[in-house]
Amino acid sequence: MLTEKLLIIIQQTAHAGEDSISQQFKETMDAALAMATFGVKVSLWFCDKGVNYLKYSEQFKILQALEYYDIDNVLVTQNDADIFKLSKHNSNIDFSIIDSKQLASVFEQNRTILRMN
Amino acid sequence: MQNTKHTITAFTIIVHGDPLHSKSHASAQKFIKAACASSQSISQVFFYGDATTICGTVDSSPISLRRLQQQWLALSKQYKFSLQSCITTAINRGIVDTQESEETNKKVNLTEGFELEGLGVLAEALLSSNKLIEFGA
Repeated sequence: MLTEKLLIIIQQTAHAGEDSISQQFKETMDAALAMATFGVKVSLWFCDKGVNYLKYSEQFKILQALEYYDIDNVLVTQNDADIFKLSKHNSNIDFSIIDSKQLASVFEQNRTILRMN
Repeated sequence: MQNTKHTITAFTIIVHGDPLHSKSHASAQKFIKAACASSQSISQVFFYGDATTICGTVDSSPISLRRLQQQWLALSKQYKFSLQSCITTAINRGIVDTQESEETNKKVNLTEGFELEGLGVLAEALLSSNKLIEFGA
């Protein structure tokens, strides 16, 4: 049986200082975790300012839950990692750095792509 | 002879933009009309996050919100699809259905024709091979 695959794009900034932004992020993560609970294989692509969620991951406890929901495909492009100075050393989330070619492949692999923020 | 067999696609529409501060609702409605005019079908519309305020009515609701609600209800009736809102994000924005009213003694403000559902509904749509189309902020 094929597993349904879903890619969720997280693009919002992490430090806008507005409750609505953090609420949007929380709701996006809630959706990701709920989908995973129902057996959907969820991947998360942190792009643009959304990369800050990974960089300051210790402030966003909900990210620690990812591993318990088998969401292990957390992606960042090399370009965004460079711009936001994100490295494996300044995040406690296990993420993969991909290039644009690999990103194209991620788009092909996921039948549904959502940006719920 | 050319094969004119037409495949019908069932769409699930996700709307998550604020009804008063984004064009996501209007865009979704335009898409639905165009899809149905092309003999496609809509299985459900799921409102998430800020979009869930569409399903509640209070006396002070702006006319533009009420008009948008009526448009959703009319489309839902015409093309026979359900209007569902995420229960958690709706309750966080002050929407109260019968069950919530019984638990909190707050006045029901969920507009008839809209339903509050869990995210499982969205997962089911995803797993049922429907095509999901998202209309964001």
